[in-house]
Amino acid sequence: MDVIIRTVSKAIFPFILLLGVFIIFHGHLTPGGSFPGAAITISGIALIIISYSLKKAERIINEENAHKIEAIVALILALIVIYEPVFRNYIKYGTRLFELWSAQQILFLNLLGGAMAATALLLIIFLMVKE
Amino acid sequence: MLITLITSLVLGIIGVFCVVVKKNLIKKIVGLSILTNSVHLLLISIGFRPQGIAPIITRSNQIIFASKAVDPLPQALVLTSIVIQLSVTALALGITVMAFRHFKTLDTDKINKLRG
Amino acid sequence: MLEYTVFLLIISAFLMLAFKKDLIAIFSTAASFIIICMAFLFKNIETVRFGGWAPPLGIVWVADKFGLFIAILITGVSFLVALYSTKYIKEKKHRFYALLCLLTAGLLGVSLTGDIFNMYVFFEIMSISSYAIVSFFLDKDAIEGALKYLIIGSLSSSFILIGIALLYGLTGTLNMADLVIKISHTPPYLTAFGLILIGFAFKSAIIPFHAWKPDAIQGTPIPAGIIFTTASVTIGIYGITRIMFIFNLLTLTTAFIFFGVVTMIIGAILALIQINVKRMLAYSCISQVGYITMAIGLGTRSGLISGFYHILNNILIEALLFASIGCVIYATKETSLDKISVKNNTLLIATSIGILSLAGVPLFNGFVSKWLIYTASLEVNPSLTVIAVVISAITLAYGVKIISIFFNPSGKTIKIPKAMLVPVVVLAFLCILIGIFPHIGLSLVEPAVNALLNQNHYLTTVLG
Repeated sequence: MDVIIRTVSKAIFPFILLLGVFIIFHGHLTPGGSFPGAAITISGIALIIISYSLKKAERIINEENAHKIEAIVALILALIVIYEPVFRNYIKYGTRLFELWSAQQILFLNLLGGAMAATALLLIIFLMVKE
Repeated sequence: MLITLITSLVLGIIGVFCVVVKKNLIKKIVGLSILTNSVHLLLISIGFRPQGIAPIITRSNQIIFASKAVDPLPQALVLTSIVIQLSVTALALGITVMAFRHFKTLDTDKINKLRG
Repeated sequence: MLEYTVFLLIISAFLMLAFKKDLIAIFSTAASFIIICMAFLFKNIETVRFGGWAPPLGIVWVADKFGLFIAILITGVSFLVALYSTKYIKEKKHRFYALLCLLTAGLLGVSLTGDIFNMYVFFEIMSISSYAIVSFFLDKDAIEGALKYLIIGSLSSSFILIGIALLYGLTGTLNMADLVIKISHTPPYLTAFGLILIGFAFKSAIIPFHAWKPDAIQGTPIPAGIIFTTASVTIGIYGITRIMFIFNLLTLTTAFIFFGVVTMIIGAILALIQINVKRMLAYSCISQVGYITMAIGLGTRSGLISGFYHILNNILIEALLFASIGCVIYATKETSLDKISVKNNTLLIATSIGILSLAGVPLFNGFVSKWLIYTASLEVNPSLTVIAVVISAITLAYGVKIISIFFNPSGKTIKIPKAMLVPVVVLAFLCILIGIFPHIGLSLVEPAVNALLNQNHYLTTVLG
């Protein structure tokens, strides 16, 4: 790709990541949540793959690590679902509505679900580019 | 309400028609997508309410929320279904790529080697 | 405890991809098998409320004896398959195991859930991992089988989704026990149930919907073929039976008898003319599904007992046949019946046991369930019995064709790894054990039938 596209995508990349992470974090307050946020985040990495190359994207995160992150996140997610009463009863949350820290374990579930969806979409993109 | 139901019915018929009649694999996959999306439209229209508001509680709408908001459950179902459809479509396209490598064509009549 | 089995299987799928150790998959399938067995032995009915929400609102899992009976069979088969494929699959083994774990998790989820949309989600998890597993070898046959399976399978899942959408629109609930109270038997409801039943019928390969199955089986690795011919079929029948009995759709039984008989006859005749051994086994499985559908369609208690008994026996026999023929294919890399000729006494004995059981010869397990089917159908319509007996004879005919591969004088002796022989021997032993002591099988089947017929107990347990 030519130099304009490369420069612009390099400049815009952190902001795309930021927007994705913001949407994941505010999933319980505004429309969006884990899956749309993850899709936006990964579209940033897809932009890097298109404008630079697969290698540049693999310097950020490669397939092995994505698999490992996915496995570990799945483990934590299952533990949260199993020990859900602990999160419900023993952690103090803010009581005022419309604050980040107000929706009990939904925030954690959004975060982990976001990480899960992001790695899954990333692996789909990697496999489609490689094969 | 009625118009969405009719639209989803028409879309569903187009989807099934595409899957059954068309010979090109990509067209078949597009047909599957149309069919699934027609079901999504049906689900969303089930939860529809005239002059309804989005089912999100904000500072201003807490009083009228229960009487005005549309049903959020079909929307959750549609989200789940979209994720499922994403993986089906990704897998279908991946297999189609492999099929093109083996058979050098996307025509389903020519891929049909297994018989008996 | 029950929900842990599905969690364990899904997590072990991800762990397999990350860390590539065979033991993870074998351990998780074995552990879920043990947990399910414990639940069957010690619990009458168990409900799991996710997030602590009461049933009509939250997702609830209901494990009655019927669901647990199916779950025992599924996890047992998948444990044996996990053992079997340690040696059979050579490349990309971690991917195969991950798909196997996901497939088992989906099957388990369908059999244990009490929420109809949750059922659809697990059904899709199962279907997607099946499509991937069919295309596992990425050669011509595998790709073609996977494409056919994928297109037909997604079409049928869309039908299920339309049915669920209609049901939700008409009643405003997704919980199965709550639906039972709210439905009536008017045309819109019957349309919805019809769509859902067609979706499950695709999965269980009843005859008008069977086109994908032989093609899919021909391309798959043998261990996955074992799962498809046994567990996937069983889950289709489970779905049909559950929907039919919990929603009192007993007017449909005539259609079930009709389709069952058609499936039985056409499956057996098509099996007779095959030359590819994998396709022959696939058609024989379709024919056996006909028996099960017919027996369940009789609608009487004895019909249900015989049908469920045949589910159990069908799983044991088809898994045994597939596993032992798979050993031959593993050694010779050949699937055409004309070209295979081998010598191996263990496999010969195991295959003969499988064929004799399939044909319903006394002292083998197939005889028990077929005898029950004959007696149950005699009460309803004697001509059904005649057809069933004739089809048994045809079964023996194509069975002999399979055994003949061991009797060619020019065949060469083959060596099979121990990890592949163990499942074969275990399955053959179980076939003879149930054939000689039929009440072992009955102790599994009778609680399942009682749970299915005792609908009020289900409703009161779920809704509290």
